[in-house]
This record gives sequence, structure tokens and C-alpha cells, in this order.
Amino acid sequence: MLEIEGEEYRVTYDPDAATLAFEGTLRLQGMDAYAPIIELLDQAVEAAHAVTTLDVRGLEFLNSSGINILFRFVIKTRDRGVSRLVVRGTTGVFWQTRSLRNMQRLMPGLELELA
Amino acid sequence: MQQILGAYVERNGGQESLLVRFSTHAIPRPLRWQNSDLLADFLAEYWATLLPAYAVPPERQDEITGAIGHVANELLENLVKFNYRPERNAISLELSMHAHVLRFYATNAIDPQAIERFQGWIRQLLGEPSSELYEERTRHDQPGSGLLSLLNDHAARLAWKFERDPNDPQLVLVTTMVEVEMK
Repeated sequence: MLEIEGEEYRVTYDPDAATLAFEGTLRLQGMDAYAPIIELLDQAVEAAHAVTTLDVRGLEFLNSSGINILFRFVIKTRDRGVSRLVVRGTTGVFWQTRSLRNMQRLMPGLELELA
Repeated sequence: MQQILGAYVERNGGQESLLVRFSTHAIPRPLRWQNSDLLADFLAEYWATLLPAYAVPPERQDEITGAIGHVANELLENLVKFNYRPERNAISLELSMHAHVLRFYATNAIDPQAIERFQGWIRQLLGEPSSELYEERTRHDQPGSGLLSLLNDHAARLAWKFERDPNDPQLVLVTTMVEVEMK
């Protein structure tokens, strides 16, 4: 299990379960500050799992740079053309409903589970 | 000099308003960033307590509070990041309540060299379907994704006003107006 932890957030990547999980509040300053997280996401893309799961149910707040890195991850996964992508979110967190549906517009085959 | 892009509505205070104005030059940006987070959270909570009094339907209150927090956070990030000559110009963020909308006005000074490029980007933003533009920007990591996420994710309306600072005519101020539907 690989893990990146900040004061307000935690991001994990479990290669065995092919699952990325985000928790907390992510509002880092600009794309540079997101570099370690981008690297983790890239590892999951490179691993070319048959099914990759992105779980953001515990991610309560995300700024636009954060949304941008998730969108880039979706585009990279789509362009690699190997993995199915399952995204788990919740309607109880404001940013998720619309942003996650927008992810589906970037990758129509994306399986969105909004509970 | 005054230029308007988009359906800009002049400030009129609405039914009630809250104006925050602060300087940013004395303290390094990482700490400033943390304080912007605090301010965005405060603004969301401040307006959340008022929503019932303005007859916002209970089922929409959480969503609107979330929108206020996100829009305020994006605007504050941009104010801190792009304010030109911060030692001469304090930034401001005003929120005002109107019959069906909450309006944000975020004002900073802009680098005169950056005006043309920024206005070109705004015209693109106002003119094209935002999901395609979003992908384009996402791929190439160009600035402006915050404004796009406002358009795409919060169904918010945006407009801009450029004008000379009446107190310091060498400075050009840009005000970003964002409208969030209340009902």
C-alpha cells in the first residue's frame, strides 16, 4: 500500500486491489504541490490493471487544481485504453455530484457509482 | 478605461452584503494560502446561517453552502495568486444576497502586460462549450482551470470588469463576478 498524507488529507494506492482512495480536504497550492499525488496516480495508470477503482467518497473538499489532476488521471486511463475505470463517490458531498458526472463526459465507459 | 466581458451586474449591495478587503504582501504565500482556506470556510458558514431567513428551500441549503465554499475558495486562490503590485493594492471579495442569486465580486490589480491574454482567454471561456475547453486545458496544464471548474461544476455564471483604479490611476483593477443560483 502506497500512501501520501498531509495535514488535511490522505491518498492511498493499493496495487493489489487496484484501488486509489482519497480522503479529507485537498486544496494544495497549484499543480506543483500536487506532484507527489500525480506520481501516485500515474503509477496506477502504468500498472494497467484490468479494472482500476478510484474511491473519493471520503474526499469532502477539492479545489480546482485537485479536480484537474483527477480529470487528467481519467484522460490518461482512457487514452491508455487498457483499464476499465470504476469511480466511487457520494451525493452527500457537494463537489462530487457534478464533477464526477463531468468525468464520465471525458471517458464515456467510466463506471460511476454514486451512493 | 472600462471594459466589461460577460453579463456583468454592477454592485448594489443587494438585500445584504459582506465585504472583506485585505492586503497580501507582508506574509509569504504558503501561510497566506492557509488563511484563504480559513476565510473560504468562514464565508460558507456565515452565509449558511442566513439561508433559512432568505427562504432558501431546506433541501438546497447544503448544496448552496458547498457552492459558496468552493466559489469563495477559487476566487481567493486567484486573488492571492494574481494580484499585481500587492504592496500597492489590497484585494477584496464581496458577497451580496439578491432575490434569486448570490453574487461574488472578487477584485485584484492586474499586470498590464497580462490583460490582453487574459481577455482572450475570457472570450474563449464565454464563447465555447466548456467541457471541451476543459479537456483542452486539463491536457496542457494551462491556467484558468479554476474558472472552468466554476462553470462546469457549479453552474455558476461569470463576468468581468476591467477599470483603472480611481485611487491609483496607474493600476488596472479586474473584478470577477460570479453568480450562484439560490432557488
